[in-house]
Parts: sequence; structure tokens; C-alpha cells
Amino acid sequence: MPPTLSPAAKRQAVEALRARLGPVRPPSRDVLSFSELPSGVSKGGLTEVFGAPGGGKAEFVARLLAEHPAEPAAWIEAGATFSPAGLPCHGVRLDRLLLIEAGAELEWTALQVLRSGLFKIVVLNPQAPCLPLRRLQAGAEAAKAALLLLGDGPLAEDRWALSASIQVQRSLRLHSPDPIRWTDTRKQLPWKQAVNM
Amino acid sequence: METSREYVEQVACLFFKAGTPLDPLAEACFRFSSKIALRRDEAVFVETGRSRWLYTQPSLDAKLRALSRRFGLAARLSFAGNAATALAIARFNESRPACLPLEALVDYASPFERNPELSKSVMAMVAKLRSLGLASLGDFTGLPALQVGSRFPPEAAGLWQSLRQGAPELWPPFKPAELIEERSSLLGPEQGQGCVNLEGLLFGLKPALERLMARLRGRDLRLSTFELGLDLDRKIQRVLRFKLPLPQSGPLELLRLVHERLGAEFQRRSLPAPVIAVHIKVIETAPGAARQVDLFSKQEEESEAFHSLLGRLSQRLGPGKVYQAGLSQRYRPERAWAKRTDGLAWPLGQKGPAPLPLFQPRRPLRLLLRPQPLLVARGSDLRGPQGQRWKLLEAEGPERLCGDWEQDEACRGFVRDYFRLVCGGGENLWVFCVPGKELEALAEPGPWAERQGEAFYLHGFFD
Repeated sequence: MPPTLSPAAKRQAVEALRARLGPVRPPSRDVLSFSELPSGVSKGGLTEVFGAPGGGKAEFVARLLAEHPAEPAAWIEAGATFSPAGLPCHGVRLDRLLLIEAGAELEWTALQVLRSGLFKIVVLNPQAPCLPLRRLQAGAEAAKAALLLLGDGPLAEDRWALSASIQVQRSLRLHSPDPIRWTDTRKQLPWKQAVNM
Repeated sequence: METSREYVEQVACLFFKAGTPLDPLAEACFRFSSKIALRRDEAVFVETGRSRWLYTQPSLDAKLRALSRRFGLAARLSFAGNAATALAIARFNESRPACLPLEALVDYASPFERNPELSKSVMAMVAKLRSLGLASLGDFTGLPALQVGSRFPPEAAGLWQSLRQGAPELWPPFKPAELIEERSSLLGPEQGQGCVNLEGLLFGLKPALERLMARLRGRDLRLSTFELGLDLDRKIQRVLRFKLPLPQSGPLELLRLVHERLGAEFQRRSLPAPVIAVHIKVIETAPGAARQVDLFSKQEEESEAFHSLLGRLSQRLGPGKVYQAGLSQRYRPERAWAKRTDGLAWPLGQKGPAPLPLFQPRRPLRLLLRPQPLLVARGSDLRGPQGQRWKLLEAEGPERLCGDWEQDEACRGFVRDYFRLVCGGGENLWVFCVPGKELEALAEPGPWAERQGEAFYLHGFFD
């Protein structure tokens, strides 16, 4: 019969093993600093930003753009409801932003923009959440661009291709000191917690 | 002969097998020097004395060989102080001019063109020299001047003098053809019986585009409009005209544009027969911006990549779909910004601090294409046009927007009172009512007591 260890001894043994393994970290990637996200936004990766319509996800991305005014950015929309007149009040310079209404050619457009290697921030708003994330992730990685996917809800498939998944929700008060709250949903996954240890 | 002088190499000669058409290559060589001469179907001469500070001999050697390969030619390359010596060195593959055979005198007699009569008389003279035991140009130039003048024909004296003293050469100017056209056959052992798909066609088209762009670069031009002709089997021809959004000077970006256009074209109209040849005709060009590559900035390459991207996107998505936005002085939210599609340039925006307007009212990032009637139900419940339901928690407003009186004949313009509504799920809606307009049958009294009886419209989301 194997000897039984007390919980304290188990913890000690686990800590000793961890110390021998060293810190387990994901492969280092450049990140765009972002005051809203302590871990930043991964360059060369996909970041999902989702929330209800009117929930503040586009404003969340607008803040990122405002914090990086020197980085050329492309904003690709499937539809024509995006109103850039709402960006300057968030500090975004419209002259640094290329806007594209891609319609049904969203994936092709995103890949073309990424492959050009010119844009370091690419925002993609697909109206239907059925995109080949692996190809987009490869494109973003090759271009070393931060690709942000906007959506009303979390993507159902290929979530492994995401670098981060941010759920955005507004405060229920109009003049709250913290008007937009966010949750990194990927961090709640057990393996992610282990990696970020 | 120049052996006694300081040897300054200033002519490069690209020598080929006789019968090779060399005009396109000579045209492309203008990128290295403005002084180019052609020996018809046999050699191209590039005067490099004036550009010797730009190119070292090894780098020019590599560049000229690469350029020749681009035109599908294998050159024998030589450098010398004059065209005749360079030609003779390349022809006889002998790097020491003094060791060149006497037959090289034919090249010295007429380096830039074939002259059969002159060649005949020089060869007769060479036979005489050989009978006297002379074998090389070194032997010939070693003859005493008096002997050459008295014992040989007058041409011999002239050649002896030019070899000894390096007489100046008159370079016939090379004039490239007015029309720039390239053609590429897709029949052959590699391609088989023509191309039936886009990939094969692009594979065959790429070398032709590279040659075309090399020729344009030689002229310091960029391509702005061209015609692409596809020769199909069964004597069918299809011609496509490309008007580029920005003149291009690089073949790769151009190939991407062609790829997109042909892809769309073939989806619309498939090829009825295999493509057996492609030809490209330049219709319109723009002045080039030839300069040395800036090692500290990629702006030029990025600018071309940007305009190529714009061209591809505009071609596929249609006009007006790729743009930058600019704020306009209008109060009507739908007209508060305008698309700017012309004159987009890289890098985007201006350098320096952000030229943001002093005051920007808070506006939503999503506007519905048309405002939709909003049902304000009992108990602060809102119902959207597509059956959405929101529970209203808080409202901010009104912000009265009015204007555009000059836009309609009755000078009424528009007047709207906008509210920002906070809903139970955290959604922020932008709704408006038109003051004085009576509530339509759809709506019931809402939470804003003073607004009861008015019609509300959902106009956007603070997304």
C-alpha cells in the first residue's frame, strides 16, 4: 500500500516539482500595451472581444487604437452600420484608420490586409461567427499584427486559435467611474491558469 | 593597346550567341547607364565609367547576369576600357587583351555592327599576318610603326594605331521601341498544351511581367495602364484592360493585382479553351521615382504595397468600399462623417501630434442604416424592430440636434431630441424622438414622463 501524504506534504511535493520544472510560460510574443488589459494585446495573435450589441466592445477597441496613434490600423466590417464619427471622442485619429466594408468577402479581405504587412492593428467585425480562425491566426502571426475579432457572443469553434477572449460589459449606471468592464474568459480555462501561473 | 596605360574598366559587354534578339535587354540596361549600344543580335554594351561610384564591378557583374537571366538569356560578360576590347574578350573568352587571337581584329574594326566586307578584308590581312608568324594581338601591336604602314593595307595601320593608342569610339545611340510589349508562350514541355487554370497562367505570366517591369525601370517609368491579352486555343483572344489605382514599378504587386482580376474574371466567364500565349501591352505610364534604396526607410515599398492592396480590394469589393473617414460639419448624425476614397496615401495620416477636434460630442459607433421605430412598452420595457427586448434602467438626454434647413425646399430641416438609454444587459442605445410628432399607434407611454405621447426611434448603439 503506498504511503499516504498529508495535504500539506502534497502541496510541498508539488511545489518542489514546480521549482524543478521552472516557470511554465507560453512562447513569448510581442504585445501591444493596453491600459485596460494588463497582459496587453498579442501581436501576431487573435483576440476575441465580444459582448451584447451596444455593450461597449467597439469602444473597448477604440481605446486601444487611441493608445497607439502611431500604429496604422484597418477596421474591416461585414456590414455598413459602423459610424466612424463616434471614434474621435475616444481619442482615435481617423486619418490613421483605413475602413473597409467587406460584405461577404470578409475573410479574403482580412487575409489581404494582413498579408500586406502594413497594418499592426486589424479589427474585424464578422456578422456571422464562421471564420477560418486558423488561417487568420497564421496571417496575423506572419504580419505580426494584432487581430481583434468583434462579436456579439463567443466563437463556438476553433477557440484554440485565440490568444485571448475578452468579454466586455457596460456598467449599468450612466456615469459610473468604471463604465466598461471586461473579463478575459480564456484565463478561466484550467490549462490557461496553469500556463499563466 | 592599353597595356601600357592605367587600365580603367568602363565598358561592360554582354555577349550572346548570334541571333538572339537583344533590344528588350538593352532597354532594361538603361537603369545602369544612359549610354547603351547594341551590336545587333549579338552583344549589348553598357558604358559604366560615369556610374562607377554607384556600382562596383562585382556588383554590376552580378546585376547584369541576373538581368540577362530574367530575359531568359545566358550572357558571357566582360569589362574593358573600350567596347571593342570588351567584345573581343567576351567573344574569345580570353581576359588578357594581348593574348587575344588576330581574328579579334574584326571586332576592333567594327565593334558595333557587322560589316561583311570589312570583315573579309580584315580576315585577309589576318591571314597575311599569320603567314608572317604572328598569332596574337600582342604580336601585332609589337610591330614597328613603319613596317605596318608600308607592308600592310591602310586598315592595318588604323587598327594598329587604335590598339596602341586607344582611339575614341563613336557609340551609335540605342533607341528602344516606342511600344513596350511582352509576350510569353505557354506551350512547351513544362506547360504542356497550354494553361487551363489560373495558377498555371500566372506561372507563365510572371516572367513576362518581370521583363516588362525591368524594361520600364530602364526607362524610369512606372506602369499605370496596360492590356493583357490571352491567346486561347482555337484562335480565340481575350483582352483585359487594367487601370492601376497607383502606377506600379514592382512585378510582385502587379502580379497580385492581375491574380485578383483574373480570378474574378474566370469566375464570371470561364475559359472556353486552354491559354496558349499571353501578351502584355503598355498603354499608359507615369514617371518613375528611380533612386537608390533607402536603407533607413521602407516608405517607398510600403507605399506601393498599400496602393496595390487598395487596388485589389477596390477591384473585388467594388467602388466606395475602401475608404478613410473624415468628419463633416453636419449635425445630422448620418451625415456627420464622409467617406474619402480618393488620394489615399501611405503612410496614413500626418506625422506629429494628433489633430483631434477640440470638442467631440459623444456619438455611437453603430448607426442603423435607417432609424427604426422603438416600441416603449409598459414597465420600462423596450422592444426593438427585430423583436429585441431591453429593460430600461437609466436615460440621459435630451440632446437636441437640428439643422439642414437648406437641404429641403420647405426649409424645415430636421429636429430631433436624442437620448442615451442604459438597459439591463449593459446595452447603451441611442434613440430619438421628433418634438411635436405624435406617438404612433405602436408605442405606449414610456418612462420619460415629459415625453409621453411622442414617437421614439432607435438610431444606434454605443457599441
